Amino acid sequence: MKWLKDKLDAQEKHFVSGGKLEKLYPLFEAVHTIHFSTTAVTKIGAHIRDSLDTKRYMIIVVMALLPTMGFGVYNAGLQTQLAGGLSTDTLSSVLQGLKIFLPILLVTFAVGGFWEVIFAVFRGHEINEGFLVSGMLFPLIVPPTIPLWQVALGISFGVVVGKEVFGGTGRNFLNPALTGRAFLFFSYPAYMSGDAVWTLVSVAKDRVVDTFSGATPLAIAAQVEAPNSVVGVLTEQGFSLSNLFWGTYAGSIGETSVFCILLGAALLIATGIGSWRVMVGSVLGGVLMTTVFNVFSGPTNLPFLHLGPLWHLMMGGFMFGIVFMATDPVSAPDLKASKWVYGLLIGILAIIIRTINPAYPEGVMLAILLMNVFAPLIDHVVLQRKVKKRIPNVI
Amino acid sequence: MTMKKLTIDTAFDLRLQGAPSADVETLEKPKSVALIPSSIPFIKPKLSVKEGDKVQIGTPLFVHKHDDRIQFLSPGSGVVEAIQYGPKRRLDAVVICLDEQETQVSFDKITQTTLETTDRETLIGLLLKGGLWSSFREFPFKKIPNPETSCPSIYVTLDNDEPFHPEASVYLDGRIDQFKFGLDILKKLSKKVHVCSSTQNKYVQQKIASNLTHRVSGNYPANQAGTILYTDKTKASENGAWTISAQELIRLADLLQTGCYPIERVVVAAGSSAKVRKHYTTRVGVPIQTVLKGQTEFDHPVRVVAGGVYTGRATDVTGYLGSEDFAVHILPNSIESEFMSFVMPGADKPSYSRAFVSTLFRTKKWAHTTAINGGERSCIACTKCADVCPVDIQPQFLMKTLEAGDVEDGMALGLLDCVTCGLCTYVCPSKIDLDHIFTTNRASLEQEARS
Repeated sequence: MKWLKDKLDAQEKHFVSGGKLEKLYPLFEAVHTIHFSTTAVTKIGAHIRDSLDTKRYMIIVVMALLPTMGFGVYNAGLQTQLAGGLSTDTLSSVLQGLKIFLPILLVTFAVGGFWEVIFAVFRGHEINEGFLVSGMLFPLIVPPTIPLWQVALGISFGVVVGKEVFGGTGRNFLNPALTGRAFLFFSYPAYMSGDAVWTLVSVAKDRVVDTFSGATPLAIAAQVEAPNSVVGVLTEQGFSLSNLFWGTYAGSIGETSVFCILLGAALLIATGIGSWRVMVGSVLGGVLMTTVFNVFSGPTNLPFLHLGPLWHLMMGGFMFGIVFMATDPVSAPDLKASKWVYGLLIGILAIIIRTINPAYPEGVMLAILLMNVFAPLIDHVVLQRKVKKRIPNVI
Repeated sequence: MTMKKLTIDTAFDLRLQGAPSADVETLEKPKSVALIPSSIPFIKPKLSVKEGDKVQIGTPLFVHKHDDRIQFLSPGSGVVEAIQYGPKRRLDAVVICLDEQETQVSFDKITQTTLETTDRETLIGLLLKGGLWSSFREFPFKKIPNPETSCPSIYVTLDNDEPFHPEASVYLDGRIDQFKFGLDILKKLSKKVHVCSSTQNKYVQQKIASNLTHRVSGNYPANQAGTILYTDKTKASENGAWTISAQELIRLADLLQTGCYPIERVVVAAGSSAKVRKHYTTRVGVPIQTVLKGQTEFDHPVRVVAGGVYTGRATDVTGYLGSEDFAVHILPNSIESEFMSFVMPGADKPSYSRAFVSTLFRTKKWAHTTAINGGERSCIACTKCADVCPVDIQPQFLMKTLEAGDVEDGMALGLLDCVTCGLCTYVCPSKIDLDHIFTTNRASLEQEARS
């Protein structure tokens, strides 16, 4: 690797102060430190430092996302192959999936990366690794049929308005990827919801197989009318807890497989990078609210209220949201007690929004964004309680 | 006397390589000694000597400008060889070239019996005159106390647990009676005298068990006086407690017993790059070259630290151990650039977090370099700092509050409880020097409190 390092080092003169491209130093620095770790030593403060840096921190989230992403690619392809009545072997599904996913991923990184570099150059700081995660998350929470100009628009909104206008990673209060997703959801509802967007149909309309409906289980569940039961209708449409768990059904690219998400969650919890308090709190909140609905809704014309907690956890973006979005440390509260409150409320709100308001089947996205806004308030209240317990030490 | 047990479980075990052995060796007399005024917290030094002056052991070299009763005496007899200044005419060192035959100033003595009848004011006067008043530190700022203030309690610490410092078994050896006499002196100064030692320290539990008041369990900085005070205190009036280290207390006793300014000191040489790692009996102000026994060539770049690895002062092999320093650390000062290291398993990467495979090796010792290991970023609220803080501060909130200029809120969050241990700075993945932000804010509060 020495030749690569020498090549990179040789370019440094153009980027340092006085060089032709000095304004682009953050770009050079990012490319250099991604390849070769920094050799800087401490100047003030503790003489020794932990090995953990934000690059490692963020890359672990990216690693946790890999199973979900790999499966998402396969599944997006598989659904397209199924709808078109084409071969459903793994290879053709993966190839088909890559054809869907890669352009979305590339556009996300190209456009989002562009904004990151622009802001880093103008503010004169190093490029922040936080975008690696946002750039991975965003393509996984959009429908496979999303037009690429919307990808560009969505990630631009997420990065610029969701993060950079507040000062960049660490200073934002909303999850940037979710902000971009919510922007698209409210601006272009026809592209982001309904039954037609979750599977890319690659053949002519008249050749689509008869059994293809395209609806997600969440949309189906929200529309079931009494006296039918939700479980009955879902089963009739071919959904079971087992295939919801494994994830072979239509939905946003990365959110269908609970199994893969749990693999990611295991890595996040084992490494301590994702907060288990937020995850467990959210599950508890979801189960609690579902149970309240189950027990207290009585005879109703909305059978969705009677759907059990397990189904709710398996459907839609619930698990993906609470594992990868709610645990974003920047937009979540800091204190341990606050994390429980935050998680519980996300779970509760997500279930309320998705069941009571059928116009917003993706309750978890709204629940997390709403709680992002409340996170500083929760922290403030908890912190004041902690401060009151301290023996005052003032002058 | 009842023994109190304190448990501090938030701090973490660095498991640093390069600990000194318990072996002790007496170093030969150095050619010169020095005091380092800039390393003494919160004093403004006013020189009492100039280059070329002849001094004895115990001659004042400089005094504290705001209170000239607080004086700093020469740890050697000879000629003032050099007065060195740093940036902004900061007084960095007063170097004394030692005489062959050293002479000393004599001070008033006190015996166990005369101590009983000596009043507090007289005693304070003797300590001021004998130049050892500066051995005391007053909380919350850890500054040299004003001789007029009364103190709610004095904490005597036996185990400086910052890696690495001399062991009590070495510096107490043969000095236990003096240590006990020192405690009697302290009892004249304050109604409450606490003697604190680590639960790991078997030596003191055998030798001075009856004198111990607090047994502290936990990793660095559990045994630092600030942490003990925070864990022990029950009301705000205790915030102004004083502290003194056991080795300094022995000097105090020595001064009053012998009437001579005591200059003996036990130090350690440590750190993974140090060639010999052990305890040395030497004197205050010893040149670092003497402690390293002339072995000052290394096959890789090194950092020489006077003091511990978290809070020590960077210097070089030509430097001196000042009145505040009890250790020399030699650490590797360079790191190889690694290819794509952030995606590697990291079996060789020590970390407080569990983000590297190294987390599986629970007992391995690590050789730390001075590498920062990353670029500076904004705080991402990972809360690792809050997890290691020994005094329940949420350093990330405190940092943001202080950076926004709100010192009042900062104090409410615990700024003055901060023991400036440096653990928050160590763990921060965004490489924010939290400790430095707290230290500078505490310093400006100290200035405000004084004016």
